[in-house]
Amino acid sequence: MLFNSKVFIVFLVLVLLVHHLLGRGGKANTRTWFLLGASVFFYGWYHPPSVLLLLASTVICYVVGIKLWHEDDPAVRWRWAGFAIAFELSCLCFFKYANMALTTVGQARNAMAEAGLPVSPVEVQDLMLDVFLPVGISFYVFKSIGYVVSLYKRELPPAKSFQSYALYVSYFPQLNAGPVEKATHLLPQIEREPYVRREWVYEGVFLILLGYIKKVVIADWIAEIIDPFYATPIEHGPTAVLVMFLFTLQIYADFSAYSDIAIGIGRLMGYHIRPNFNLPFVVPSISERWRRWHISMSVFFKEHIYIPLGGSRKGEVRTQLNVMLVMLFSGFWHGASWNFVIWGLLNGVSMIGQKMLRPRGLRQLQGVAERGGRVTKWLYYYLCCLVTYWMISMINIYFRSPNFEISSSYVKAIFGSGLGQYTDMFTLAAWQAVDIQIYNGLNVLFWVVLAHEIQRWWDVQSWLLDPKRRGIWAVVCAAMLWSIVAFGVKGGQFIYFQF
Amino acid sequence: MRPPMSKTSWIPEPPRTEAEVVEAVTENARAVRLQAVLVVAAALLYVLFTSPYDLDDSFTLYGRDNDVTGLFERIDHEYVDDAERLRAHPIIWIVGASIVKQAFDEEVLNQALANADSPWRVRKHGFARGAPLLAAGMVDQLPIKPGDLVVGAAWFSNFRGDWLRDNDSAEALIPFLLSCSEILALQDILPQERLELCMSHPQTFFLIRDEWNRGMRRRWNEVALGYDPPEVQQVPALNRGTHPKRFTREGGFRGGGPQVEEPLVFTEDQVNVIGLRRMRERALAAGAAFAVLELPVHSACEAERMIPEAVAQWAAWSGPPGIPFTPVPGTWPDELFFDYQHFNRAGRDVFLQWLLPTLVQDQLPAETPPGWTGPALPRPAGL
Repeated sequence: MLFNSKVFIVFLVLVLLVHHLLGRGGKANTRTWFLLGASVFFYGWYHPPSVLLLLASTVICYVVGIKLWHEDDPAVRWRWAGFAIAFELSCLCFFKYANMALTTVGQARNAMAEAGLPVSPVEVQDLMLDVFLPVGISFYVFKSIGYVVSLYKRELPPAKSFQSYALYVSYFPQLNAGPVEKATHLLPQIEREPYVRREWVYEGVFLILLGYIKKVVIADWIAEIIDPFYATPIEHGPTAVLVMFLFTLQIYADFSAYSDIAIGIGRLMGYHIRPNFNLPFVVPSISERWRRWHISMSVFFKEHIYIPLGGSRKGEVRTQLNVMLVMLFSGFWHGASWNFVIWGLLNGVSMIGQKMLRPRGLRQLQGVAERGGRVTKWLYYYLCCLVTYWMISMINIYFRSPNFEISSSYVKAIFGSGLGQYTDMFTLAAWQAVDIQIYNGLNVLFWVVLAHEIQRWWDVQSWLLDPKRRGIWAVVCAAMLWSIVAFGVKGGQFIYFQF
Repeated sequence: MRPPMSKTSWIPEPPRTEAEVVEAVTENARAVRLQAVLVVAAALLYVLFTSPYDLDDSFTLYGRDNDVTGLFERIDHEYVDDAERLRAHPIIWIVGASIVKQAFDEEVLNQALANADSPWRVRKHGFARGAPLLAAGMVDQLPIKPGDLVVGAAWFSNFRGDWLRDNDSAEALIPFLLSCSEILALQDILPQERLELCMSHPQTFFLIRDEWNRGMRRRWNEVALGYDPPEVQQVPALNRGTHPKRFTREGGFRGGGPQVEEPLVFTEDQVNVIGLRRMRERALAAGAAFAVLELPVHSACEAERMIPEAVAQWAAWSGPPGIPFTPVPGTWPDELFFDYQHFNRAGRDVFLQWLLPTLVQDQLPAETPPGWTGPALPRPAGL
């Protein structure tokens, strides 16, 4: 079930109604069972068999959690934790990566056959398995692994009941595309008595509407403009540059929309889901961006991969290697395609490059900017933001392109296959030849950047949610609802659903 | 012995006091009531906000026969104020696609006609996307009177066998301009698609969105590029420059896809042949004359697109006794074109300079008999 579908709106209203009716007498257990049932219904809406995998994963991790809590022998505990983690990862690998691996093997075999080696060529399509990729598997697998690791480290006691743990894993607002909330944070909230405050309601409604605005008014519309440009290889440099800029906006609006809606729904039910984004759109460096972007996943990778690998405790080279491994893993996690691996690799290279390879000229420029006062500091900051945005957009070409051919065509169109084509980027005629719809998209980009930067200095959300400003809140929410209605909820899928 | 909890372990909330619990229960009840109020308010606002958007909503349909008539209310309103002036003059109704929109400047023509004391006036209805099939729908809505002249236009790609499928926006425009019976008569698309087009309602909110963006876009481009893009509605696509890139980049401009691979069809059931015939029938039924202009095209288009077989086919079809057909003579310089088939600003100026003396000299007969094929246009000077 998609957040931006009419059926979900009806579902949400009914769930809220029953949830609050059940919560009247402080019956946490009944409410938990109900929400679990609603979450399973939500998850099974498109593909009911996927629920079985979710159930198996939940049961195994719940049982292992109890074993870990009661078992004292470190070796036995290690085996239990290893079993649960291996199960989760093998599910993820089989459903998500099996076909990628088989395709790669088939292509390698065909390449060897072409090279004259004694292997017979195969039809790659014949090798592929007919498996369905369960929606959100990457997210609930991470939550389950996080729970097992927390119990293994004795960071929290096991869930008080199966239904509590099952609801933690399958809580519907964050089941399909996160945030990957930690058990130490969400599980205790599920196990306490039902409780909602009015200020949470105001905040929840605002966040839900904000999420829909981001999805319907920005992301879906930008998608409408740029999707055709990713269907076939591109040749026109200025178009390629602007389209890649717009995709960075689209993915930000799309993904943060999902998180906002999830957090908002949580607030209406009395749950506090932590923010997944902290103004990540205009940032001066790639590492700063990753500190602010998809925070729950970044924290997961930091706690479960980066720190176990040694983090920054084992010297500069090892630190950067760890960063690269984390980013590679992140790329691999995002999708079963070599494009995503390249995407992760480029992120890692950029992060390391920005830190290690700071050219002397850049350092001098920074020095001049800092000595020059506020204006030069400000200019330098936004110059860095612009360069970073360019880099992120370039890297995201590999995220968005359906195949190598298209991503390569973008790189070629932007950097040019020859000097003549490259200089063409500097002619007005070349930019005038860009489809006018793309310039329309740039208008939105401008306003999003402006709104983003205003928020850096003025916390609009807190100002608006002040109890003294309920009237303004109502007008703003009504205006947001109008915008959503005017643009129409078309039900375009969220980008992160595929992961 | 069980190892102790780690240092980073979760610390449970301290138990709440009785007063806190009571306060929480009260506050919870208020919060739930607030949610109920907000849900009802949102539902009411949703109904209110959606009412003006869908064409089958009661707000939109009030006072109209059906959803299609609603689309032409704007035309009606525009002509109510103008009715007297329209009755006072014979009108040349120029109706057609972007080539028409690009080639004629209504204001310049009317000013010149008025200055020369000519009884004629010009009204132009040019679509951003369109062709005779759609223009025929527009002709039906215009207050044409006996003695007027309806001028349509067509060019080669309108007669592709797969025009409807090739022209993405045509299907979006069809429900605006054709009646259900006309849509159902289209043989180029599947029966289920015809039914869908009959049932689909144009999305009015896109118009509102586009208008908003047009304003924003202009401001943005003026600041960022120093370039004022064409205003589709106020000054219909008159300000296009010449974009050399359009000729080198495959698919770089609309309508620039491969054309010659698809055979041209001039049979009775081709959608734009149907359109031209309908335009003629409707014009004649209103007592007006009808002519079709074939405007000049870029030399690259002449060379690449107008293959001899197609030219011969076109000539055979468009001559008498078929559709009255008036080709603009001569080969026009390439710098007068925005792309293969559209004039740029300079091209429009040259074209009007050439056309105006003809109109001003009142070569158009005051009483145009049915079947009149338009003025005998002279060859442009210097071409």
